[in-house]
Amino acid sequence: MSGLSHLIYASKADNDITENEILEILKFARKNNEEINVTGMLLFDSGSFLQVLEGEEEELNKLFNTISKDKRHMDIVKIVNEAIPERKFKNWSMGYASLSKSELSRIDGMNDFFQGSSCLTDLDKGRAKKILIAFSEGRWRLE
Amino acid sequence: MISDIEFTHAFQPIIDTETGKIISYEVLLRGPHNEPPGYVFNEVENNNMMEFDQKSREQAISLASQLGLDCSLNLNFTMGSILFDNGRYVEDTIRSAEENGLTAKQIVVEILESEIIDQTEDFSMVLSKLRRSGVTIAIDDFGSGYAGLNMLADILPDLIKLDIHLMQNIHQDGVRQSIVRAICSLCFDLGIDILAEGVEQKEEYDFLKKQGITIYQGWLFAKPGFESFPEASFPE
Repeated sequence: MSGLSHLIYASKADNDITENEILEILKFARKNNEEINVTGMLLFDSGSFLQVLEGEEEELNKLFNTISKDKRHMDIVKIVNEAIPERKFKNWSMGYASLSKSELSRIDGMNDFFQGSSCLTDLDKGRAKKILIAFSEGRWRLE
Repeated sequence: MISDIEFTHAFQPIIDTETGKIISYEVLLRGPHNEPPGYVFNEVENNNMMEFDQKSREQAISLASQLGLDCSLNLNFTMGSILFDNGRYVEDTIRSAEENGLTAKQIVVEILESEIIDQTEDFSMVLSKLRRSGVTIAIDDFGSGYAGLNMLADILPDLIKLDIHLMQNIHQDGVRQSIVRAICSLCFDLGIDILAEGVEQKEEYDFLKKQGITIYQGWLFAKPGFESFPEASFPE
């Protein structure tokens, strides 16, 4: 039996990753996720990614398999994969926020998550929010 | 006969010092004149325990609803009753909450750490199903020494209640401090809330506050209220 779940993982970006590549990842993720009804959020800070994916359990596991093979990041660590009662990011095929004060945050569509009506503190309480906060405070940075 | 047993409930506030609000009340079983739980349990035959336990929860939910509950409600489940019939008692409890105008999201299911130890796989499956209903999963008496930390990987609760014995004079006890610091770090990483229970001294609270714990239950903040929702005092 499948059902709604979320999967949260952290990874380290390839050292040579460019802003354009992150944009491409996002564009692709948004299109693909819409097709398979996955929602979520990607945080980037100082070379580390934290991603929350929400959707049907089976879809998520397939998607995570694909993501794990992507050469643009490494040291992928699955943090949580569990059942959830509802989506926290239902309006986001893939929200994005960069915590680094880099050029990235000034590019259109790159910091949409925090510029929109929502931000971390507005998020409904729950595990995803708590882990996003932990990441934004420096946890889950893979050395 | 269960129907002949007289009982009622007291409610103890659980507070969040970050928001300065009461976020839940734990339901505590009482005799009709505020006698302790043992007084009531003496009347219950062993083979009726789970059925009585369910009746007790439903009566507590009804009372909480009449008292105007506007936060969560922490409910205990007697040994065996969460796994029984694939989580039926928890589902019945949710139904009872909804019939009383409450939601599944307001229900906090407390599971004893000692009960999980030999049955983590069974719990993991049943809890995964229950989680989709929106209830909060809490582990009671966490750190009392029965289960190892790897139990967290299988259960991944939303909340743990630190064992009362860990709290006693923690401001003077290096070993306990060290254990609590480790648990805090782990829970912060995994998005698990920590509740410190049985906090009675300001010095204990001061230490726990420094570790980043914001959720408390104990006499320092509020005693249980017999058939009522008492106010809580928030330390500086």
